[in-house]
Amino acid sequence: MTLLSVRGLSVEFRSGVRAVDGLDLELDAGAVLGVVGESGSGKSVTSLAVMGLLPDARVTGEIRFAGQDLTGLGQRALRRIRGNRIAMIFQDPLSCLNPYYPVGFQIAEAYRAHRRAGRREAHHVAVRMLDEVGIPEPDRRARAYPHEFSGGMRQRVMIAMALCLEPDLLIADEPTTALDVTVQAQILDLLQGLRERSGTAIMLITHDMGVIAGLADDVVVMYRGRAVERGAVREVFYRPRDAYTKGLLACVPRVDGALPLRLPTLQAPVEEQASLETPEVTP
Amino acid sequence: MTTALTTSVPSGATRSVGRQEVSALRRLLKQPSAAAALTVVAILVLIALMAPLITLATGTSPTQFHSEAVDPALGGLPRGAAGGISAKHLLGVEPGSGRDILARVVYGARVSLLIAVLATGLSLVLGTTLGLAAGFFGGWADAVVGRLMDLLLSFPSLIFMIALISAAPGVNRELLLVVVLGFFGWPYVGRIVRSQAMVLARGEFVAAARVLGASRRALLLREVLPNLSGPVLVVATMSIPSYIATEAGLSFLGIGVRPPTPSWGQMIASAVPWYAADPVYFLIPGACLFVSVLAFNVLGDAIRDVLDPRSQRR
Amino acid sequence: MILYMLRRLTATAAILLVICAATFTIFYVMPADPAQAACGKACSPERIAEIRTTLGLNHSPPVQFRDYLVGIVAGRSYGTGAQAVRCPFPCLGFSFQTDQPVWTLLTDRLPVSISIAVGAAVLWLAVGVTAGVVSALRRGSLWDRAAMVAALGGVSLPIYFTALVLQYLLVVKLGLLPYPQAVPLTSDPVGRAESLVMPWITLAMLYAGVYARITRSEMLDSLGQNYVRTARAKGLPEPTVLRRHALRPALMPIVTIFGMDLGALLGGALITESVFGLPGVGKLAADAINSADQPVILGVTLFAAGFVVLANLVVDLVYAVLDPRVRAVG
Repeated sequence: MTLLSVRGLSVEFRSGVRAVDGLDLELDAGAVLGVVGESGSGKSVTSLAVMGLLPDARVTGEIRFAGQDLTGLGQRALRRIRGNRIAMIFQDPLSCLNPYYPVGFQIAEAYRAHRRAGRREAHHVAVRMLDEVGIPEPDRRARAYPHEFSGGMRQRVMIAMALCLEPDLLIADEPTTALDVTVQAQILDLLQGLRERSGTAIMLITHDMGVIAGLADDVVVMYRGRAVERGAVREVFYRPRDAYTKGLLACVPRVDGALPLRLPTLQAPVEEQASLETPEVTP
Repeated sequence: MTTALTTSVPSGATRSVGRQEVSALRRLLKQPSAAAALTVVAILVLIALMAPLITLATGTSPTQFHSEAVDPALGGLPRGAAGGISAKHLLGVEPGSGRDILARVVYGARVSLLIAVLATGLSLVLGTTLGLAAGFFGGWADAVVGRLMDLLLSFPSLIFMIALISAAPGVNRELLLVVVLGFFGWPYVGRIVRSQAMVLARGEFVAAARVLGASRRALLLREVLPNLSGPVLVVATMSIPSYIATEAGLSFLGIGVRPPTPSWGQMIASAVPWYAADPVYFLIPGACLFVSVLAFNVLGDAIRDVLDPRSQRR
Repeated sequence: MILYMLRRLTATAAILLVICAATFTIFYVMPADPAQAACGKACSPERIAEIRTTLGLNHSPPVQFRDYLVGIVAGRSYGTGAQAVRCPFPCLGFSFQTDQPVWTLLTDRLPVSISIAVGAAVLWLAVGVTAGVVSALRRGSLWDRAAMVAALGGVSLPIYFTALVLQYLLVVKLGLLPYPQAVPLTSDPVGRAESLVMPWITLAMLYAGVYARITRSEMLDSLGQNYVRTARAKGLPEPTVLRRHALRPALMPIVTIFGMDLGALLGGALITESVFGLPGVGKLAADAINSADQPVILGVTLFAAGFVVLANLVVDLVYAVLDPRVRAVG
């Protein structure tokens, strides 16, 4: 069953820059869709557009979530979906957590935004979630502040916050980019485990082909706001059709292969090469 | 790659300063408010410079009494409407003495600006030298200067200036004002210079110059100092209005510029007893003060916005 | 946390000591002779010598300074034998003009300064912070521009000029308020409030401008933070997002500045009190300056410095309570 279907999505900023340009995406319930591309290719903007978190941009096209078109919804209806049915985790967990509140409070706050629950009940949920994402002594740590956690632990907190309402879809925007390599593996394992247990669909946004290979079922390769290639991970990895995807894949250093002396320089897809001068956008 | 770095980076960093400044000035003048403020400041400076010429043209003097312009029957109120404004006295006369207000305001601009500019100069020299020493050399220099700045910044400086000035009779007040204002003002410059110098001292182009064998002195003068000009310019523009206001405030309290030398703050102080009967007398120096401080503030804001891209977006 | 407080307390004590020393140096190294000032114009050399002995001016400056400090901490006596005058703790000496203990003068005047400072603070916080928040939320709008122009105007207005304009408009032209009285504040609340309205507005116009500008810039800063985006992604209602995740962090720097400003004003709003003739600590200072009443000037300086330094301390401690990151460092 299709959970999220994006058709002809375009996002244009006030400055006139088009960050996403006619993108199509499809994600089944319980599946993991990897979205890869270099920075500025429009991956993050796409995820923010799905969340309805781009107030200053013009978003056109169709974003159909569980049969409902999100682009036509008002802020009030969107708010009921955000965090509740679609949750999101971000790249830099330190700056994404408010330094002035204990992490338990910030999780409980998300829970109470959508469920009728008292402070105490919400706090219990928070502690349970912290336990679930593998934070030791969750009872005590729930009262700790973000700066008292390590980077990996903070991302675990973010995941606990995102999953406390058992959303249908989790958008993970570069969830491991800011973390150490060993911690990256732990977080990916955690996401994999959670997905198996809860059946939450994941839209995994990354520039790292390795991350996609470990977790995703399908993959969409984005370049300059468009999908240049899509398909099952195996298909795309072993039989990439597009030159850009080939380049992207060749950039992944492999443990089993000889290290190339130089990483390859990315070639733009053929039809795009003419218009490379437009400035790059990061949201 | 390596050769390109060592030859181009340090010299390029210094050479581009001139071009940057030109484009910054152009961006500055594009904002109508900044252009207006700059015009006001320019006019102000002109007035201050040409004060003797202006009074020569109007045939008045800031210290000459005109008993015929005031009415002793009314307790010395100026004759005529609106504070005695006439062809001879374009902005009216002082109640009581009958001194020409235009002449006093014009000479007052001179005093206010001169004190503010000199005090700014003093605080810039002190702040840049000490801040640079602290930030660039670190160690005990940083410890001493840092403590001193902390102390001065947490000092109740206004009340202290008052105490200091009132306890020093027989000293040239204008000079004392400059010294006191500059002395209590330098930590604001020093703080910024210190932090910038710390960043720059670890910056890549300074490292590159060091690799090339530049001496410490050359590093400071040629690489670090030019890169400080932006932030220092912002503090300087911001501190001029605050010095103008402080000088006027002290003169208002009777411990600033001493009569017969005119100063705006002092003129307002002497207008207090007359405020109900002759409002023009306090309105004129007050408006001058307000417009000058406002113009410098607008200009300071605009310069900061142009030089700091982070605040520009706001 | 306790260690942090102790460290701050030590630093505060050190600053106060330095301020005492600096103030003391100014007055006793400067050319003016305190004995001459204490005695007045027509004064015989014998009388001056007598006063010098009584004030302890014949001792060396370090000894005088020690006596002065001891006086503040424990009280002291001037002169010896039967004529000795006891100056109880905390002794800041006696006024040359009225012969009253400086400390009594200060504490008598303090309530007026407090009511001026607190009233103005309430006004400027309400106006300045609100204007700043609204401006930040509607950045670039007509309101934002108008508010920021007004704020810059407020910042540039000299207090005594505002005071005179207000007085001229409200009292002389419109007759809304009575002439400010130089007499002690009446005990009836209406009269008291009436005489304080203009000082409040005068001060608030300046500070509201400052606060509106700071609040706007801090609020814009916090609105751009990633955790605000997280809060929205959680589906929190927008008012909660703004209040809890944008305003709260934005107010932190304002707490600091507010503490310092209030501290400075409690030590006497010199100009405001002089213009409106309100008998607060600031007016006391202005009068003392005009009559060269050195012990009073010295006392007011220390008193006001004490407020500023204490405000610094309180702000740091409040900050430590409000900001978990500072708390952890201690």
